[in-house]
Amino acid sequence: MPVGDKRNCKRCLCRIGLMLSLLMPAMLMAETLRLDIRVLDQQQQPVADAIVINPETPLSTTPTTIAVMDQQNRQFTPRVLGISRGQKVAFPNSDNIRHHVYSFSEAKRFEIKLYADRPEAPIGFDRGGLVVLGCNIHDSMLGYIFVSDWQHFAQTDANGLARLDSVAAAPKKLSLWHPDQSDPARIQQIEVLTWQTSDPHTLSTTVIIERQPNIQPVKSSRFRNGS
Amino acid sequence: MKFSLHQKILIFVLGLLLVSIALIGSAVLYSTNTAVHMQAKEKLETGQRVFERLLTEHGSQLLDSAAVLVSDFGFKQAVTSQDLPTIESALENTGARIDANLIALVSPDGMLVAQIGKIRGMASADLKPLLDVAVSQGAHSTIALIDAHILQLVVLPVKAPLPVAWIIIGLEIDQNFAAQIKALTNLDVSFLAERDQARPLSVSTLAQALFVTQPEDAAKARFDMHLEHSSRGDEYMTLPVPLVRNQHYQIIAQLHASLHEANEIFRTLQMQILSIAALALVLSILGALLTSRTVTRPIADLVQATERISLGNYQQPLCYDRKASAEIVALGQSFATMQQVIAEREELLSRQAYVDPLTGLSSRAAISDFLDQLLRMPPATFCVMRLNINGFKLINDTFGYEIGDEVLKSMAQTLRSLIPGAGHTARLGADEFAAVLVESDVGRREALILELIELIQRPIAQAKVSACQIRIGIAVYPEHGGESETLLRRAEIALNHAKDQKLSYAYYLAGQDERHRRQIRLVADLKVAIAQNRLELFYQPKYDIKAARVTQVEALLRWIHEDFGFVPPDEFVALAEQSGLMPLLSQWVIEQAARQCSAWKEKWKERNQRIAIAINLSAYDVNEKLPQKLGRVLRDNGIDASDLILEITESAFMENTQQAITILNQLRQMGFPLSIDDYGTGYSSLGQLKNMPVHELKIDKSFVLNLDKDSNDQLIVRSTIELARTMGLGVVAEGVETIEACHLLRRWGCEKLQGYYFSKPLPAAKFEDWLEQSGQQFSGLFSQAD
Repeated sequence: MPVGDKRNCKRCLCRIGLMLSLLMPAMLMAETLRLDIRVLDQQQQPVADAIVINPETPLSTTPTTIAVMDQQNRQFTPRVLGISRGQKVAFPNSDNIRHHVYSFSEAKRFEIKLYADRPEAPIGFDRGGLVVLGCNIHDSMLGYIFVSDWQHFAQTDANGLARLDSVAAAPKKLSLWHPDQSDPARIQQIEVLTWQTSDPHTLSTTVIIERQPNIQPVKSSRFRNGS
Repeated sequence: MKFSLHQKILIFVLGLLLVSIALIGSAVLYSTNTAVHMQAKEKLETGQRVFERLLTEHGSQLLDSAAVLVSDFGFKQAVTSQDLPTIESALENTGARIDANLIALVSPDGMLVAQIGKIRGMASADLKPLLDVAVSQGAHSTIALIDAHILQLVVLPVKAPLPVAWIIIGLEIDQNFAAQIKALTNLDVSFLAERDQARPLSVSTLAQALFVTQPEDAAKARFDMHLEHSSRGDEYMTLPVPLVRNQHYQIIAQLHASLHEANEIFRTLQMQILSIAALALVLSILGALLTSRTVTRPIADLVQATERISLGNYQQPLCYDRKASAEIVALGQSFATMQQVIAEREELLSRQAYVDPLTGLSSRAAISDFLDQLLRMPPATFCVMRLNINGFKLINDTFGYEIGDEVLKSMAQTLRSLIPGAGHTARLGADEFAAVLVESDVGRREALILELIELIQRPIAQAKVSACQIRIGIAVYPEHGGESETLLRRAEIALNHAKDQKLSYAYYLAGQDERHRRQIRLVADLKVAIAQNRLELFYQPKYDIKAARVTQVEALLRWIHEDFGFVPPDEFVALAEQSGLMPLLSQWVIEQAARQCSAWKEKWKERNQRIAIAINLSAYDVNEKLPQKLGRVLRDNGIDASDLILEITESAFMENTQQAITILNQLRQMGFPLSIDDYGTGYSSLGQLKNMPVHELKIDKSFVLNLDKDSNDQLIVRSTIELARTMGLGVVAEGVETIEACHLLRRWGCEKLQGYYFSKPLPAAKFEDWLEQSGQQFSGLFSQAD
């Protein structure tokens, strides 16, 4: 997670929190809350690389930091990169072979023809949405850049845990995207039934999502008759 | 039906061979058939593997071609930018390269974006299942039914890098494709597709007619998912290979192995076996014929030989094939032995039959044969003698059989010494001998006979059995017969005559034989005559002088023989006595008389006239059963004892006087009038007469017939009457033929008269007439005289 994100969010949340405390004197809680959202699939397995969004926070500021989508061992690294709309992403090539990175996604169509090391310039993503990355040479390479239209979002770690800091109030709904869903471009709306209070500043919840089994691309399919 | 050995062997061999051929044939047929099916099955299974491999390869090639298209970056760009003209040109380009019949681009949500190729009309119903599988598996290679075409097709995603569209490429499975498979698998192949209830679609290397002739049968083989062998007209074995089955349609491949081809391989073998079988059959028939001939021909020879033996030919040596099988040779040898043994035994038997073992003289058969032989060229005259020792049994009884045999031997010795000719002397039975004496001179013959008697009698006399006498009967050729049998029989008749007359020897007398034969005939016929009531009773009246009328009749037996005519009662009664027919005859007479008596009693009841019937009883009749027998007859006929007069001959009392008297006493007590018949002919003494419980005497007619002329008879009759009257007995005279005799008898005191003067014996009906007419005539017979 880029360091810049956190600071921006924090500032933003501070302001919201201030406004809320002025509007609702009854809420004499701490200035900000922290939300821990655990994302599990139908098998209760943690879902990594899911983007959890607080839909009540439209994008206010665009970070100037350049995000990085590296290519290591013929894999996009990270697999999923969450950025804010308008942010730029650099595509360094850490492999000693060349790649031909492309995207036919509506959010951003581009290609960086065969290159090694580091391309000339980072690429800016000016539209929100999903950008699916591929390599024209290596079919197995698949990467996602989630371009967020919202200010406040986080990406789950290997334990499926996403943390949203500096939240003024616990939202009723959350938006969620992850790469293993049936429609890759869709952003799911999830209603949170209960928030659990683990400490005075932290609320936590668990979200169950449906994960589609990964479809392996056909390498050399042998014909097999039968039904 | 009887089979000859020859046929049996043939039938057996042929039967065995046919059974073996049938078994071998069916075994070969079965195993070749099995082999054919096994071969076809193996061929099908191998073919199936090849077939599946081919389809897989075909699919892979198709997949590779499609992969080339979908991985093209430009194509991806065209798809993602939805540049339809570019997309279609890319599809056409690929289609032309791989000669695809169907290429289509489909959006992820199943909408047809672009389509080229000759096969169109892909319905979304066809598309959906294909895509579903492709989505879940990432790609899909399958056989499918599109419109009315069977296709091998692949479904592959266009990835950018996630699937943004699906490409479908299909090659039609058509006649050419099937032909290629046939070329590689060497099997006929059919593809069948059936969508819902629609008519099945087929692509085949076989004539179409082959499947559609029997849709029911075909359907089972076509869509049964199990390995099944269904042959069509014994032509093919079919292996169904299911390819696809979903809710809309199913596609199946069928591999057909020609059984005909496989059969061809074995046809040669079958033909060879058939030829071998036919050859074996012919050889076996020939062999069986030959073998059975070698068995049956010697047997037939032996049969001929035994037939010859049975005809009495023992001389001809028995021929049999000494090279024949061991059993036949053994049989032949044993037949030969048998022939020899039978010959020996027969000779012995014939010798025994011809020679009396005790005396060494000829047997009866031998002398009979000898006579026959002699008569074929007879001398002018010769005589046949039958010799018998009368009372020989006494010698055996007294001195034992050894002495008896000695006597017989010595007699034979004597015979042989006097009549030395071979076969001239014979022993016929126990003590019966015969001899043929060829001597034309009567004097010498007589002398020889006397010498013979003398010589034979001597040892018997020495044995002090005086009762034993040699008896000889002689029949002379040609006077007494011209045949051996006749001569022997007549000699025997002469012998019997000699015995009867107690003569040492007797010649046959002319007529003896005929009498002898007549007697035999009469005895036989008498029995029948009694049983069939052919006898008749005649009645001769007895005139009662005191009553001056007929009061009694004497019943007399009459027999008219069908051939001999009238048979004198004396003759047949004597025969009846000799042959044991007497009880039967007497019984008949008694019953007949009683019945007649009863009839007359009934007839003349009103006149109160009674006619008593006198019946004659012989000595044989007077036995202890007689009273009972008579009592029953009286009861049965309802007559009294006084109605039957029993006339008993004087001789009846001669043999067993005491018993006779006892029985007569019984009869007298029963009320029977008893009369002594033929009085005067016997030798009964006055003492005996005194003891006899009789009522009257009947003077024999021999004394009465000439009474009026013969003074001796007059004396006898007169004194007899006086004697009887003295003893209180009544007197009856029979044989009265003149009125003079009547007067004499009346004067002397005779009470009843019987004879031809009154009437001859008459049948019952005639007697009745006579009684009516003549009864009056005699009523005043003596009134005039007095």
